[in-house]
Amino acid sequence: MSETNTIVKVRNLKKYFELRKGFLSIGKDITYVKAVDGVDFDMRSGEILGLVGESGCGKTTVGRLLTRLEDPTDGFVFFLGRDIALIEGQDVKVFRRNIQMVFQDPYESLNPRTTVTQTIMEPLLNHHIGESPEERLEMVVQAMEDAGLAPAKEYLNRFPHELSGGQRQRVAIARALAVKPRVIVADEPVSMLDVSIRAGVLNLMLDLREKYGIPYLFITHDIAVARYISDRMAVMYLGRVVELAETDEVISNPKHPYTQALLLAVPVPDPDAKHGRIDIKGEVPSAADIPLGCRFRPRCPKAFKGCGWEARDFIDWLGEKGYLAEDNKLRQAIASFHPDGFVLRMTVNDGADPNAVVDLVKDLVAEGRRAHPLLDSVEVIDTLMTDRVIEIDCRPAPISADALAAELFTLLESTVAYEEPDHPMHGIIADMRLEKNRLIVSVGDDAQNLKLAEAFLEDYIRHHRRRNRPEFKGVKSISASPANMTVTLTCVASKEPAVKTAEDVAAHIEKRLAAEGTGDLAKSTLPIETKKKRVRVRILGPESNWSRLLEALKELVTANRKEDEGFAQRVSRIRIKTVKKPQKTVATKFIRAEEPPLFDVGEGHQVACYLFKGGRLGQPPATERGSGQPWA
Amino acid sequence: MVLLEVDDLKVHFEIQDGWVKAVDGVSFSIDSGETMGLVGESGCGKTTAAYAITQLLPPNGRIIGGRIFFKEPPRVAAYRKEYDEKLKESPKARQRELSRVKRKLDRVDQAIGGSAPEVEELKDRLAALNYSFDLIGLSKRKDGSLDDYNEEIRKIRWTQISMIFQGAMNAFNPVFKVGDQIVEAITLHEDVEESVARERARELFEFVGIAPDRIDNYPHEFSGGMKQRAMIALALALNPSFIIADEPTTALDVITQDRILAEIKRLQEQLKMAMMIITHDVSVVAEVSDKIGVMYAGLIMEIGQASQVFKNTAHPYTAGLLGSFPSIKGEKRRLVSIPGFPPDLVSPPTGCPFHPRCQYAQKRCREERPEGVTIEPGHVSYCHFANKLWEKLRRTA
Ligand SMILES: Nc1ncnc2c1ncn2[C@@H]1O[C@H](COP(=O)(O)OP(=O)(O)OP(=O)(O)O)[C@@H](O)[C@H]1O
Ligand SMILES: Nc1ncnc2c1ncn2[C@@H]1O[C@H](COP(=O)(O)OP(=O)(O)O)[C@@H](O)[C@H]1O
Ligand code: SF4
Ligand code: SF4
Ligand SMILES: [Mg+2]
Ligand SMILES: [Mg+2]
Repeated sequence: MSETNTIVKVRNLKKYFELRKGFLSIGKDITYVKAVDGVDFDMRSGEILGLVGESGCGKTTVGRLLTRLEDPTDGFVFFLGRDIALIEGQDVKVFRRNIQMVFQDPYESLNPRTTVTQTIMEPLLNHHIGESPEERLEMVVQAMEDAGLAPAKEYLNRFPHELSGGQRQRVAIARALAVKPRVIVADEPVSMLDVSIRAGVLNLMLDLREKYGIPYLFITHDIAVARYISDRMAVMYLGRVVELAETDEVISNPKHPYTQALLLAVPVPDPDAKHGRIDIKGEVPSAADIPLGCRFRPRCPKAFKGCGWEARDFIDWLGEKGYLAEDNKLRQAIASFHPDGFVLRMTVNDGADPNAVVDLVKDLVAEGRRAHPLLDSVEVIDTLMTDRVIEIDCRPAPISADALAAELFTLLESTVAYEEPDHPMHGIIADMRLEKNRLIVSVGDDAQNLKLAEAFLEDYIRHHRRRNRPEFKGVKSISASPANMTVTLTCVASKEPAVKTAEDVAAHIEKRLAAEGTGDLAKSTLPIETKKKRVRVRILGPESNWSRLLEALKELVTANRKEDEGFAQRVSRIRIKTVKKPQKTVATKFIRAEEPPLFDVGEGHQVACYLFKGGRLGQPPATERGSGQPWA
Repeated sequence: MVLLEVDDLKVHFEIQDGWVKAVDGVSFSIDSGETMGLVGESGCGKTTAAYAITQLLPPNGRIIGGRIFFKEPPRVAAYRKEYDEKLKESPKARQRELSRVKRKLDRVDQAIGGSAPEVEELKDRLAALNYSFDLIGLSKRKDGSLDDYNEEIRKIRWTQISMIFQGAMNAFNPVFKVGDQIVEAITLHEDVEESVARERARELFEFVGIAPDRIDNYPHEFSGGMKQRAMIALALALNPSFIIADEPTTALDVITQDRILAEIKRLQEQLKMAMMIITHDVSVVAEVSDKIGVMYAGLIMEIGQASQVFKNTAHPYTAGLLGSFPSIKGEKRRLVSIPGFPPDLVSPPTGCPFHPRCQYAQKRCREERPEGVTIEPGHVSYCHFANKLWEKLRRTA
């Protein structure tokens, strides 16, 4: 079974921390520190997965999310097939037992007032492991000897301050081991230890993996340590995993430009191995202000046209090239710059002619195009009418009872994984089938099972409704039938959530505009915004562009095409709305790029870089290729 | 040419339960333009040795013995060693020799006078007998504590010997602009206009790779790496001939560390600066040092050129330290940990301090502190059996 091989699955995991800017900012826009911003990886049984990256890249937060010391903002952690966010009640204890954590500072993580015995005994008592005090003491001794604290009786009654750092970390490992967990998350477990002692703790962890096959997530900033201990390695940068592969593969054949730079920077304990340096530019950006497109782009020596250049990159470039000097023609024509993601709005001075500014910008972009991929990714330069916006009011679309039941079926199948031996429904849920608006779950022939399954399904639906599937309020009843040994979930028609509606509408417009024979309209349309149930669209260029766009949108609603059906249903009104006084404005729009996902380059080697889109190193076309040098 | 020579330095700290023997007889020398790496585990006395060189000790610190010669002319050093050999530890004999040389100098000076070679020679002999270039002699009080405010020392500290402190990232005062703190350091020691000092500060920023217009930033506006660079700028402000850097990259990420190490290499190459780099990370010393001293429990265990210490390892502790360090290069081999843990320096082990953890230890190791064994010119191991073990260790290291 493939499921059993994967112990932990992490999918699109996110954790945003709110950042308050001073006391008086109540009600203002809240900014978020995106500590973890879409992380994916699997942990397989018996393997050590190294999670490496510079400080602040989100490693500890990933560890805390895995152990549920922190709740995710979005995304999932599946532990043995179960969504850990849904674990409740008695099961929480089982979960905590199964996933143990070892921390960086062995002094802080041990209670200074309890002896080694008490420290290791505590989780055994908590989890009611062991029949008698004698048996528990035996387990403590076993765990200590496993952790290299032998003979155990010499250490049993010591307090943390009577132990060396390495011994303290061994106690922490013994405590984690004592309860026989399924996974250990170790966050920088050797960073605070003396060099001569580190090797001992690392070897201990390797030996214990050998003996018990317990997988570890081994978090470290030290790549040499990660190379030594891990089987596979995930490299994080600014909240995301950018490369993941077998450890040897990452070390000898790094593919992501960030990993390459990182490895070159690692010093080697050999005076003859003087290494060369490649310079990646600047510092890691703030996690509260992450670059769009590829987040490594501002520092990447290989960045090319498709990496998602932004307005602020353009302003930086203008500055570097002297276009922002007081005596420059461009600078004199422009009153203010407003970078906003992929669009740079420039408010033109009263005396200046916007069309002349458009030409000016076009000229300098054309000139620089060869030399810098930033300019190559300018899509449109045009005037912008700031006094209007096309507003689309949306209404949530209904979901039929049958569709809802089908969706529920898929969700249960994908996440419950009751085939998994450790799953609470293992051996209880025997089968599931769909009958129109009903989902029928059958259990074995034990009446007790029926009750358990019913309770589980009730919990399951309730959790999902609360979390991110309000449409599940359409699950009308959950009823057990002792005669058939089944639990039936009956659905009625429901409605999708309103926020999702506007987002779907916006996505649909983008797709259709690009697909229609209206290439220039799509290009000139600014990134679409949504606000609650409203969608707002703006376009660059003259008045005529606005009317053409309005026509095109109305056409989408009235067209009697199958693919636009949902769209028509969701739109209640489209109109041009006047918003404020006109202001002479010119805008430069850049090609939009999403965050590069992890591309598979073969043998489980994954790289989040557009150079590897489509598998191996897809050489970008000559015009798109980076020069291999940091951009001047 | 020798720039700094540390001879049998002993620095102890007085605490309630006795004395911490943080540095207990350390000798080494550094040539001008040379970088020495001092490597060892936490608590082995690296920082203490460095502080003694800059003559800054905590109030409970005492110089128990030893001397630190700075910028001693080669001939004076030669005479000094000659006298030390000849007069051994007899103060009376030294006193007699001193008056003899003094009298002779007076005589010759009157006879020929001026800067005749003979006069010069006698002056050098006098300097050697008086230990005139010993920094410790300048500021040591009777009880062994150092006089921080000694005029002579204050002239040397910062202007000739400067230091990048461990945890330098927090060394700047948070309420003043970084640039102002550098300007102040300059104007305090040199008689220059503030505008001149500011210009120098800007140049220093440029040199360490920070945009000069950032001199008006406050420390908190800098990243860790930038603070560390600014600290280097501050250490360079008065054109010292020797810089001590205590764990200059320890709290930094590898990419930033790599940049700081590149900066340090630039100081070596462009300014021919002599340096002492203190770290627990053997890969960092490997990267930047000409010469390496390995410290353990207040003593040097092995010292030599970087390649001698790394390749021809001649001390069991060095071999253990290198064998327990993972690397991203080369074959992956099982790390060998050193059993036990570093000793408490209030009551360090007798004889060779490494003996409780050493697999080669014999009876003699528990009883006698090892003398230096010269393996090759410039390569010394403080192990009784260095000559015998050398072949074995160099294979395993
Ligand atoms: N002011 C003090 N009073 C008492 N003991 C001290 C004092 N300063 C240092 N020590 C002790 O002296 C010994 C050497 O300390 P030192 O700071 O020189 O070590 P180090 O090699 O620099 O270590 P690290 O790598 O941790 O910086 C240690 O045992 C330390 O605890
Ligand atoms: N509780 C918190 N509140 C606000 N920000 C946090 C919190 N915990 C972590 N962060 C921020 O999230 C980012 C990632 O932190 P962390 O996961 O600790 O990184 P790492 O372990 O890789 O050093 C950092 O920018 C950090 O400052
Ligand atoms: S996608 Fe790849 S090439 Fe482009 S900026 Fe990111 S890392 Fe560099
Ligand atoms: S002197 Fe003895 S104890 Fe010390 S390192 Fe040499 S063999 Fe080991
Ligand atoms: Mg961390
Ligand atoms: Mg220190």
